[in-house]
Amino acid sequence: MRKFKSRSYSLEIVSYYTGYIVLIIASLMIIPIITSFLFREWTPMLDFMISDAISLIVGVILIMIGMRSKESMSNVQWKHGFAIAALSWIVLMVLCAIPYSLSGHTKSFLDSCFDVMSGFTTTGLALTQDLDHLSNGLNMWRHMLTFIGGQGMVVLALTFLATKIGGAYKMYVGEGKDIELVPNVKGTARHIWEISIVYLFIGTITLWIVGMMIGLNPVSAFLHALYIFESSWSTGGFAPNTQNIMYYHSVLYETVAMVIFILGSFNFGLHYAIWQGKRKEIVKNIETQSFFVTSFVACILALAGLAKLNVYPDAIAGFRRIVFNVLSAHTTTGFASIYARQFALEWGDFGILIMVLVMLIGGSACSTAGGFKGLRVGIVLKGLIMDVKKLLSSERSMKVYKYHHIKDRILDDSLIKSSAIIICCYIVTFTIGTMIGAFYGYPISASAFESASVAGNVGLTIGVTTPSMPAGMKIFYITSMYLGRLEFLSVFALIGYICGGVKKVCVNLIKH
Amino acid sequence: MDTRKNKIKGILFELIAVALFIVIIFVAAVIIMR
Repeated sequence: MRKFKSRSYSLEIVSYYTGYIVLIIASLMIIPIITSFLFREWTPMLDFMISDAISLIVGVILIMIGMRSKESMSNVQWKHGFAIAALSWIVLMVLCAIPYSLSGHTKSFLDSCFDVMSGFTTTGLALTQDLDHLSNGLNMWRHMLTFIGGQGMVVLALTFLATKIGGAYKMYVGEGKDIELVPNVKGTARHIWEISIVYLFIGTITLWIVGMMIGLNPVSAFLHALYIFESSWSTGGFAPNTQNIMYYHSVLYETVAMVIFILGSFNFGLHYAIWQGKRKEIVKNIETQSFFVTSFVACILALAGLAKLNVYPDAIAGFRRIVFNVLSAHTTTGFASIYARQFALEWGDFGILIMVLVMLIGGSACSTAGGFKGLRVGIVLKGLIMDVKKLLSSERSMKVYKYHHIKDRILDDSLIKSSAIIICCYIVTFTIGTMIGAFYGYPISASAFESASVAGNVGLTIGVTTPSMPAGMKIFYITSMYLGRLEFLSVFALIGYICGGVKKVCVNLIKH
Repeated sequence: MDTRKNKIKGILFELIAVALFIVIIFVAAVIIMR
């Protein structure tokens, strides 16, 4: 009886906080409503008002279910934190897909959910059709979703709610973020948003000026600047047009976007440390060391490989087409400066292999980027070196091995093990995705490219992701993006939680 | 005041570091694609 009560309390805790997160994100629909109003887009405005009303009702119902027990206010344990983060993402995916579906720009509700999950997870793959003729309201919503998803929806909710929540840190970790910029979670969440908002101003103004220099009118240049900044900073890859970054035909625009997405792929802890005056952190940090080495080597290898194929005539073309795409893949942004099929037709197997590897490695932990992260690559490599050194040293010698990530930390076996487990999870997801692509008849290199792109939350496509691809692949890609973004543990916790609940119900049914 | 100064310096430092990295890769591209 006591156990059953505990399960009931648990469900109420999860429902209560999921409801709060839903309410906060749903209330943000006011921004696309205002945008639609300003541009006199009455139908999209109505779509957003309907979606907002449904989302607010769902949020209130979830809170009311949670409020049946007073225990739901406190008592947040690790399992609840993880389940709340994982469940919020699923509920919000469905609710935020409503305006997409009402707009008529998607083939089915599944396609709408795909685009929302792609936005939330900062992947950037799109099944929305006729992107060039989307309403300003829907464009604002798409790019807002990717910007919020980059920082984290739970992080946003915590900015407003943390004083009310006992187990705020557990939800924060559940969303795949684990660094504490200041000793309390509310302060950390606020600093994350402060960093993003400061760069939002700098990046949008810079892109606005460049946009006007290349001939866009001031209003259009501003909207494009805002959208491209949100996509770049969140390492998302959405653009308000089908040609993606190629639309601008400008090396300057591409370079500014490149600077923003590299900065976006850095750990928020690193930004904070540098802003606090710890400039050496950029050189000493294991993550930045890992990123600078792997991205430089990948660019050199891709340049050398494609120079051999004579695909691009000079260094400028090589820089714009090769370096841009490799860095876009490594930071898991997904902006493409060539058409999707050009990867398959011009880059050759070596080029595709480089892209797959960098997409899987990804950016930094606790950043807007995906992939298995430079931090884990660095830890596993250091662990390997540590083991070799241990083998070569005297049996009696005892040495403590360290690595630097914001501060000096001890490199122990449990840390290496947990990093290796997450890397293995990514590789398994990537392998299954490749097998599913091959099963549906796509070439193995194309399947691997697309699978790495979804598992690493990148968003580059080789032409596999289209509205006409099989529904099974769409569902797997949604799952893969979701797993990759939440770094597996939260989703496994939610699955375990649901299975535990189902088991309990079944046992009770059998007993009675 | 010092905090604000530190932030501005920090932002400039980050922008310069990333721009420098891009310049290094561009030079490498020029050498390789000659």
